[in-house]
Amino acid sequence: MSDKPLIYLDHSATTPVDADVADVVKQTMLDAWGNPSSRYGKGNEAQLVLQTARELVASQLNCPPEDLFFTSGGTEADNLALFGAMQTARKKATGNHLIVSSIEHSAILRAAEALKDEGYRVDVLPVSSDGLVSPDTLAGMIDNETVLVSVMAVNNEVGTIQPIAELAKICHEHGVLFHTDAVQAYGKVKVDVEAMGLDLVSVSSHKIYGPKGVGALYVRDGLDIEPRTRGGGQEKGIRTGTENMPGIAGFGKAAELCARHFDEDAERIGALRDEMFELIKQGVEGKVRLNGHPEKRLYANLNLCFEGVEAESLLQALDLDGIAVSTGSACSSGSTKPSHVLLALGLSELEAHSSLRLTLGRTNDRDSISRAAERIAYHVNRLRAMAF
Amino acid sequence: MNDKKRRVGILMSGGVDSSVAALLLKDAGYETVGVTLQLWDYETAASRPRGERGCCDISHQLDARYVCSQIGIDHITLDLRDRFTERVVKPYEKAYLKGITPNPCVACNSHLKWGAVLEKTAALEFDYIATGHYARIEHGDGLPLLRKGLDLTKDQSYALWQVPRIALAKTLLPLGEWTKKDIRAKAAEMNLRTAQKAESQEVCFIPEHYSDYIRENYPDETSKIGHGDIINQQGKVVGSHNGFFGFTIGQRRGLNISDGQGPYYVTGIDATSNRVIVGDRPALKRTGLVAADVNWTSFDPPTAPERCTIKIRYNDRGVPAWVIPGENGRVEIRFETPQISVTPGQSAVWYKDDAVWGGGLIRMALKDDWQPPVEVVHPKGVKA
Repeated sequence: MSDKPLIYLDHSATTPVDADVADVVKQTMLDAWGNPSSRYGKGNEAQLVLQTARELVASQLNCPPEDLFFTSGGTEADNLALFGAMQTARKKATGNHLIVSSIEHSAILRAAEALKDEGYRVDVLPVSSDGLVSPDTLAGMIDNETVLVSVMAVNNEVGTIQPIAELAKICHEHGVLFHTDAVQAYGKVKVDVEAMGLDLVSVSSHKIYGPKGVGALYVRDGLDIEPRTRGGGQEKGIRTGTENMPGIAGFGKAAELCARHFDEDAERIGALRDEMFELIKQGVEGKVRLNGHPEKRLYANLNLCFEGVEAESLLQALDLDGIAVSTGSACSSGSTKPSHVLLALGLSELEAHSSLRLTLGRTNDRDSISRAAERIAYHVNRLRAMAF
Repeated sequence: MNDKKRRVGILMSGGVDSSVAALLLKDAGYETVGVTLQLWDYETAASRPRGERGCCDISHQLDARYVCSQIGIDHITLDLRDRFTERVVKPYEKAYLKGITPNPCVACNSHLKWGAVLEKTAALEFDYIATGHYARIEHGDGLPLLRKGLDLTKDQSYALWQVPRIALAKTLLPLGEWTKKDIRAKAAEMNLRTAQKAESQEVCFIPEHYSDYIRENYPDETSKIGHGDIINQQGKVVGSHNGFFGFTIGQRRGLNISDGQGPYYVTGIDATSNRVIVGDRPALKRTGLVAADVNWTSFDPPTAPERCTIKIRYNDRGVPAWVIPGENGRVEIRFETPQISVTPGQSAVWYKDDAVWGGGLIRMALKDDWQPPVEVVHPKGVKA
């Protein structure tokens, strides 16, 4: 807002749109503005843009493009997967039971609550203190009514990477479907629907430098899911309504860039993350604790607990320095409730309220990292001194 | 010399006054940060029709943020939902159930606006906090002096009596020398989003009539109160009420008494005997009051009865009275001429000239005759 240069450390909340992506969005609006359902030249032109984007987004999941359905974002994809699979099972009387992990995004948790209200049986799969679900625990929770298990590939708050291939395998051994919310993983961590045996996968564009308001759901070929909307039959009726063409084209471009930067991002941003953690530990007087798994975590994620510091004050003080961080997921910021993810990891409410999430990305460099680390240490030391 | 800009956090409600106040501070060279308090659950409020959301609607926070970007300053939101419920809403509701007419804005000012934000000043390295109230603070060598705003038609010093001195010392009130008209003109000139915005309601969190609200939220307590008698000054039953919490002192409408002796006014509410007392207009007159929970805002308490000007409601111009220090931090106020509608739960604020001397919550109204002391030394600067 004010004139300070921004140091953005909240890439898991959203990312700035890549300039090349923005060009594609603009071109689509100005040139390929036809309706892809129209059967004349202008429609065909749009259909080509749609098809290209679908292929680009699908290639990052190693899935057939025709099994990928564009939505308005990760939240809609998650809701479509859960409601769609559960309602189909009810229609066909094949089951009534849903299992979700305790550290899912609220798009999954709230959808699961709503399904519970509709009479479905819902169980919550716990996680260990480093944020991992246990395949054995999952196996023990599945029964003959279980339809679907949903576990996110990478957690949005602590970055924990789940063993989704293993979880999917267990599900399939019991004839159960497996969904993963891959919004945080997509484009950063390998998600391969063939190799991992995934049935349903949610992804989103704005976490990978694409536009907001567009995402997709992968649905394994032959899998029947009940649509949430009714209309003209676009996206094979699974997500009907004229496609968000500029958003979809931008998503495609962003996915293409992810493929190109995949290894480089992991290496460069991962090194910055490690350096930043070191700098913070050096600058802060007293304890700094890492929340989540030390190794099995997204290379961009740091989630730190500064005991005795109210993270909300830290966030605001950093904001006034032009440094953007987060204390939980952006959807629940402003809420006095401690993060459900941190509580699920076994942190106390006080510890959860003392935790800060830093998620690095392409906008960061060594200078911005060291300046941010210096300001974080300064404020943590200052706020700790005030508290005692 | 430290050339670092002084940092000030300006409380922004999303209204025109605080918007312009922020602008004035920025123009005066402060590093200005807009601060909006989130007091209510926006999702809950959104389920009500737009006109009934009061301050609870998220649009006010969004307006504040919008104005901050317009004038190029930072903005933060403080989540005080729990504290607002605990310190303002609950006491407000409970007061009605005890037959008292509460004053939530005063509690909100001291506990939320100044209380919570002051706690934050150190964390956020604020040198001052500021609000868009129409009042002035004189920061001299001694105690800070809280004075009326120059625009007497808008003066809001009455609502600030409970702000502790330590907080006043860190407070800036940039609108104190402005008129409302000029503030609107300034907002329009700068094209601020909030320039044309209507005034906020007095009690922001009650969308409907407050007695319906109390009934809805306290079904057990209110049904236990049930019905009761309305009696006249002689103790004779002249009607019945369906819950004394729906009445306030001075109220004339909705009494449904048809004995032909009216008009009747509510002169008292007796929660203990579940009775509402009515009488003619002269029966509303009181000679004084007892105030509790007193704060000596700008000056220390007198050692003997002294003259003051007293305000007993928001839009009161003030009348001459005597302030008499009492025991246990209580204060007795005696009016020079009897006043009507002295309402327990409301604020009594006494002034020395145009400065807020102190204030308290009206605990009870006094009816007995009282004679001013014979030998009086008029304190300097007090109008007789």
